[in-house]
Amino acid sequence: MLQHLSSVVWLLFETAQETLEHTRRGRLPFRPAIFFEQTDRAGVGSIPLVALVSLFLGLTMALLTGYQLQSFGTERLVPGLVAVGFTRELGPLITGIMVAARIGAAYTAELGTMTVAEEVEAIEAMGIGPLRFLVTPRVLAVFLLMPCLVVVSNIMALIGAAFISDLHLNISLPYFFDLIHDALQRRDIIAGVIKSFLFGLIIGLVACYKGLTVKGGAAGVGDATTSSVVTAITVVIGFDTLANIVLVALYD
Amino acid sequence: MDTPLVEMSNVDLSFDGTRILKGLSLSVAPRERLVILGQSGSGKSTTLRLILGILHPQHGSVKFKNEEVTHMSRAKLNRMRQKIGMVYQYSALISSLTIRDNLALPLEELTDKSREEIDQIIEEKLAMVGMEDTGERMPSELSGGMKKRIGLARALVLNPELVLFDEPSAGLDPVISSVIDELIISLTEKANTTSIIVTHEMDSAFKIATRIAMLYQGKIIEEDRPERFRRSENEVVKQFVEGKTDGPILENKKS
Ligand SMILES: Nc1ncnc2c1ncn2[C@@H]1O[C@H](COP(=O)(O)OP(=O)(O)OP(=O)(O)O)[C@@H](O)[C@H]1O
Ligand SMILES: [Mg+2]
Repeated sequence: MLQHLSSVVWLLFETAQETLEHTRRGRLPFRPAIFFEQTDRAGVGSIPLVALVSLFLGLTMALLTGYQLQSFGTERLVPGLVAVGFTRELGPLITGIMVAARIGAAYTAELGTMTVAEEVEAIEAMGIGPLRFLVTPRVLAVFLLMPCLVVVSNIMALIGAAFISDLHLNISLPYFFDLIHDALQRRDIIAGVIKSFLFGLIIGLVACYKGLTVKGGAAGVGDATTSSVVTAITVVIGFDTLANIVLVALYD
Repeated sequence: MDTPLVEMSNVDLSFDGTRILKGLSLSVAPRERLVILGQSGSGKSTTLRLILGILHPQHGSVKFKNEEVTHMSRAKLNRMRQKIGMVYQYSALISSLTIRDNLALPLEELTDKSREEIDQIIEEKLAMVGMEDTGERMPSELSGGMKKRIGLARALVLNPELVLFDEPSAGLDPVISSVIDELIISLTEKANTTSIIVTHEMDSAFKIATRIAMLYQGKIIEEDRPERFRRSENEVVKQFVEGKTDGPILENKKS
């Protein structure tokens, strides 16, 4: 595990180096077309899933917390709870898990198949760096799109919470937004944004690394894809915990 | 004598503890057409990968134009690779790109040629391998032999100084095979290209080679001009050239 982690970090540096070397010669580091194709797949294609899951989670969270807090008469804490919970924790985490399953798996399967068919080697043999050509646009696509997806996730969760608050907890929409405004702090938003970028980077790198190191034909691609999703989700949760510890330590 | 274009000396290479190459030495002069013969799994493809710097030897040296491939920086290695064309045993076309884009890829990524120039080069190379009018198709729509020819065309788009052919005529019909053989010969005669060809087809080997080398048990056991290679006294070479079942090659497998 640790060895894999260092290989992933190594992949990041090698890719960055290869990409910069190429840019220094006055060329685009990769094809914009590939980048946009990947952003379309990774980003736009993920919106329905992320939106739906987040909406349900927002509903559930508001229902559960409302149900508990009502007995103390403090159900007006619900909007703030959902807002803070999603902005700094659940939004990035849930989105990260879904993106790892959807995009990470696709990247690994795609690059893995290319590796098995010697396509990656052929690209290398032509003197076209496969890292900058294949890895850079993909990693950049998830890195830049994760925060956007997290925003979608947060908004949908709040819509879910607002719905429950209005129907079930007698919190009107304007009051709902006032409560969020009071509860949500700038540092929650910053924490969420940092996490989003970090998770995007991790998912992209792990997926590409697993794809490029596939061994042994079709079965190898299958194993690598499973392993890519499992590893990415585990590492995302691990880094989430780490980020929480660091952030709490920083603000106390 | 010319300085060799490729020089491998005492190369050792193992995969997971199994030694594939044991002290292989090989030198290729400019404008030669060296055919490498050897059993399946003897390390022929591996040898080509060593020249490209895709694999690194555990011991020994691999030089291209007197420069150690193993010690090259990435930028330098990429510049070297642009001078070498590789025809893969299983084509290795990029499956997500059309045939046209496959051929255009190295030109677009590595040169400053204009759209028109690129189009012209692609037409020319496709015609060379007899595959005009396939440009818009995807690799998955072509047969194995057709893909092979596209792989060959791709290896030639940058007009390389050295072309490595990994079984260029395996899986091709006899007519196309001869066309490819002629093409390999004309590359050296007309374009001063050097070629290293791995093949199992004896007829074509003797037709195209200016020199033949036999790879056996991790070493080059015999290398000579084709007419002398055919008359070799070496038992392994004799058996391989004549394709006989009795001889040292199979016996060795049994033990
Ligand atoms: N990436 C690899 N990992 C482990 N073993 C490998 C790898 N590549 C090749 N080998 C082993 O090295 C040996 C030589 O392989 P190579 O592909 O060079 O053979 P070859 O001479 O080209 O055979 P063929 O004529 O069948 O193509 C084989 O025994 C193969 O199992
Ligand atoms: Mg081979």
